[in-house]
Amino acid sequence: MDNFDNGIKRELKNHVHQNIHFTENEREKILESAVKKQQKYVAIKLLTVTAFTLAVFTLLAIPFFANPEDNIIHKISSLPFSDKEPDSKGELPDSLFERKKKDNNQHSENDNSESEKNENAVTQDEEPNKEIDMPENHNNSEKDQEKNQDESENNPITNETNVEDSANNEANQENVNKEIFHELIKKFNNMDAQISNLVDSTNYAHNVGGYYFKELTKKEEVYNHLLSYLTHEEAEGLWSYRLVESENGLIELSMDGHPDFYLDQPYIINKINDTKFEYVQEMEPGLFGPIISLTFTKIDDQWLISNVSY
Amino acid sequence: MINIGQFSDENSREQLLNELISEYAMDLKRIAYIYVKDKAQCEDIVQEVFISAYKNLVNFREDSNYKTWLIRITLNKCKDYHRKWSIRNIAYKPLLDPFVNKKGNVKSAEEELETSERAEHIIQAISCLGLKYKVVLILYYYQDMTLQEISDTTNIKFNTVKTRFVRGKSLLKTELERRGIYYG
Repeated sequence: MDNFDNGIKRELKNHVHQNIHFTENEREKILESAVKKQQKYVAIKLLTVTAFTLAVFTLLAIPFFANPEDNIIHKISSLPFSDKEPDSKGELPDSLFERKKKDNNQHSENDNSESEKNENAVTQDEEPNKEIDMPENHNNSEKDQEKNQDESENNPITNETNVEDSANNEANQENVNKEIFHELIKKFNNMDAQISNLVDSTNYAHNVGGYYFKELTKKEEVYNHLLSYLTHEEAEGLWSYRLVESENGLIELSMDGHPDFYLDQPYIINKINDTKFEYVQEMEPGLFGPIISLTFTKIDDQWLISNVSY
Repeated sequence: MINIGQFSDENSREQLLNELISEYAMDLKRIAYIYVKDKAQCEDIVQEVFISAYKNLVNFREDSNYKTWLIRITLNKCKDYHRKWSIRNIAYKPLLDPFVNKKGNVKSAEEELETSERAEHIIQAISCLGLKYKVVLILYYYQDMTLQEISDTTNIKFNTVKTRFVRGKSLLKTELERRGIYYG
């Protein structure tokens, strides 16, 4: 360090030390500004978060408020196990949930008067262990209806109810065939036994873990045995993974059978549309469940089980 | 020396800022003054430096100490000042009020004026230099930093600092001699 350096340092320092000072006022300014800017930053951050939240909420709410007519909450079945969409339930006529007639006497009593009918409807709701009946059973006696019509001519309220019931029943009569559905369900319940009869229970395929079929060699042949009550797609879905096509023949793998749908246990019927109905039933907790549902679809004037889920 | 550990709590940031101001504000303001030659502007720069530091305290890494960190911020703010041209920069402003003697020195008014003028010439001469020389000379002459410390503070290679210092000092000497200021 030479004289030049020393001289510069000395004069520079003296000058700024004498003339440049940091005051308390400046300190206050800095502290104030720092805190203000921090508050501003926090406020902006808060506003941004709030705005974002509102925007997300608005976006989510738009479909709800845009068309309120579509957002009617339909009456949903009291059964907690149903996974059917409320829309389809809303279309289900009340008459579908009427109890199975205990005996002919009770049924005739129900038909005698409209008021008694209503009382029985309440009773049905309170008794879960009764089968849900189809509407056709309530229209067995046209004569009774005629009698009721005569009686209700003097009562306009009763008359209107009869007209509505009559319209519902007529529509349901055309679209619903309980006997067919029950027949299909029985066939479905017998499906495992039906296939087992095709299997040679003495010919076990050790390498795969199943039994060979007596005659069938292709999966498709098994499906064909089921097409009288299942759609091909559903037959394939229910059996494809249980079958193995090998060089020595077709093998049914050893595994649990399909669960049954018990017609003598409570269940619910959902009308999805005129050509599609769904039977839903609660299952005991176990390997399957908690519900089993069978969907019936009318295809080429024939009712078939188009979907089984459990 | 301020220890960051005791101020790591979010609520203590203001306290830390206060400590930093007490410790370093004066030096930073003087560095800024030598750099920008404007008293009002150097006040603003120091204010911005501490606000910037306050906002970034949570990100401060203890790779360097607070002093080095703040000096680096100050120099960057000064460079920004040069980049931001404004009409006020062309208005005439005396560097300092030559008749204000805050320390109450017993020097005569004539001596005071002469000393002040020489210092102003030095500051003006430094400010005439290029930015790369100015930073090195300010830290060397005012902060009493070694060339190695300048290298660490500015993140410039030592040899580069050394070259800039030699070249800058030569230019400063020439400029001062042109102004009639000589050091034996």
